[in-house]
Amino acid sequence: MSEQIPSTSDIRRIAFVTQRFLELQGLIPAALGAGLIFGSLLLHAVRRPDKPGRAFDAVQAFMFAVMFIGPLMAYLHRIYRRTFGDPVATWYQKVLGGMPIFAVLAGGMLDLLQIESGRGGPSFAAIAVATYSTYIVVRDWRWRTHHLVAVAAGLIAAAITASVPAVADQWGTDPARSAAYLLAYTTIGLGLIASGLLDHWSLASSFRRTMPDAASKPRIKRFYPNYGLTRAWIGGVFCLAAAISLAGFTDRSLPDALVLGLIIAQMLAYALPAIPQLWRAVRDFGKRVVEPTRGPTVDFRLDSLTVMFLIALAAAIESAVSPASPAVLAFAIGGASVWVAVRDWPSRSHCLIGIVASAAVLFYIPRVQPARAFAILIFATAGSVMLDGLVDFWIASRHEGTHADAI
Amino acid sequence: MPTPFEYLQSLNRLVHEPARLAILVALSACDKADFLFLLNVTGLTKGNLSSHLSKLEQAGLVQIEKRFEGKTPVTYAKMTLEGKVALKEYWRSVDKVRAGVKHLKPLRAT
Repeated sequence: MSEQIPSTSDIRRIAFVTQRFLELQGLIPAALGAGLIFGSLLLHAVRRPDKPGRAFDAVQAFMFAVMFIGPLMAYLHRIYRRTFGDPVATWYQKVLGGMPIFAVLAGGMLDLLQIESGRGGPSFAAIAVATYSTYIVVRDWRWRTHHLVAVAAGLIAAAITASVPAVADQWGTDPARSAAYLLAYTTIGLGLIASGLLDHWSLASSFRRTMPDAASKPRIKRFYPNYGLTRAWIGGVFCLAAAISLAGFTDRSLPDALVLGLIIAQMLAYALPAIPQLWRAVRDFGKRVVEPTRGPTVDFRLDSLTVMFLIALAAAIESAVSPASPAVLAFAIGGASVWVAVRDWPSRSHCLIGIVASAAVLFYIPRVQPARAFAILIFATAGSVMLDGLVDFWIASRHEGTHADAI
Repeated sequence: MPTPFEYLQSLNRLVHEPARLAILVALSACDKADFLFLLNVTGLTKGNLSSHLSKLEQAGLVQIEKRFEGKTPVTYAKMTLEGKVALKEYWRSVDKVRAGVKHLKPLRAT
């Protein structure tokens, strides 16, 4: 690898990247945003015409996001360290690094109290996002101006929730307020995804600038058996939950069954991989934790980030505009599968399974009720993730140790 | 009062070298950092980074901590108190050079 002597601008960049290493791990807030959008979309899809929405429903969307991000955070921190190295943060940097997630979670909890008390007003989660992002823009002007997107998202979400008065009856039924909260969470989610992905890109490009050879060298995909198996397990659990909901329940009971099934699937998906971790923790109690040095690294290709954002945008549009059918989202997932398969041909040609799944969903969507259409989407997407993971596992088992390092 | 050139002469050569300055700046912005991070963030080669770290360690500006994680050797570098003082002093000298240069007027051709 050729070497560049650090220049004056490099010195500033080095100081900035090292200081903000935890804050720039943008995939973490982006994952929280994805959880918020998924929760809102699900609750829109399972809403029954004979059962008007309660403001409390929005809290369920929020809880989905919390369940989604919880176990993912440690995993994402680990793969960031594996990719870029480990600058041990000071306590102050650690506090600031966890602030975006903490701000949204604390705001969501205050929203819950606000809904329970039957009072109107803007969403606290939206205010938290707008405030924190404004602080980031002011503090890191020039470097992280993209947080203006999150500021705008927070302000829009706050305006949406503030504009709808609370008129809940004794059962908590308040369809307008429920819809306002779901739309607000979708907007916040999209803002977090946009600013998070741009933070991630900013972090990755800061490292690559000094490594021209690494940047220009085509990255060789490396497969890891455990990673493939984990993806297969998570996809399989969600696929099974959707399949049980589709096969075992009528149109009337399907919405409740699907929500419950997905909550159980989420718990199972994370619980099983946690068992060996728990075993290791008990076995190595009192010893220093040794992190595996081999394993997947973060993907910071610009086209991958664009594809992630486009899928999130499709889901947000679906949630905000047309919650009756997840056609746009199915189309986006199919398009993303084709893109990945073509880009990494032939090593990831099996991603074409995704387009088969999306085509099947698009075929069935006009013929079934929204909750069933959404269950079909989850069944097909999770099924293709499971097959993709199994194929990765198979390839990794055959060729383990023969691929070059990605970085 | 010393001229900017005299300040320039008084700059700590150990810190002034760009690669070592980059390492010190990175270490000053965190508690400590591993070899992989320093390699990525400075863009130096492994050999060069290792050699600069050794020089900084010999001068007492950086403390090197080597350990094994499983079977993999991991090296962490941490800035010492002397290192922090030296870097602070260096930036102060650079500021003085910069301030002094502002008052200089170019020579006119006769």
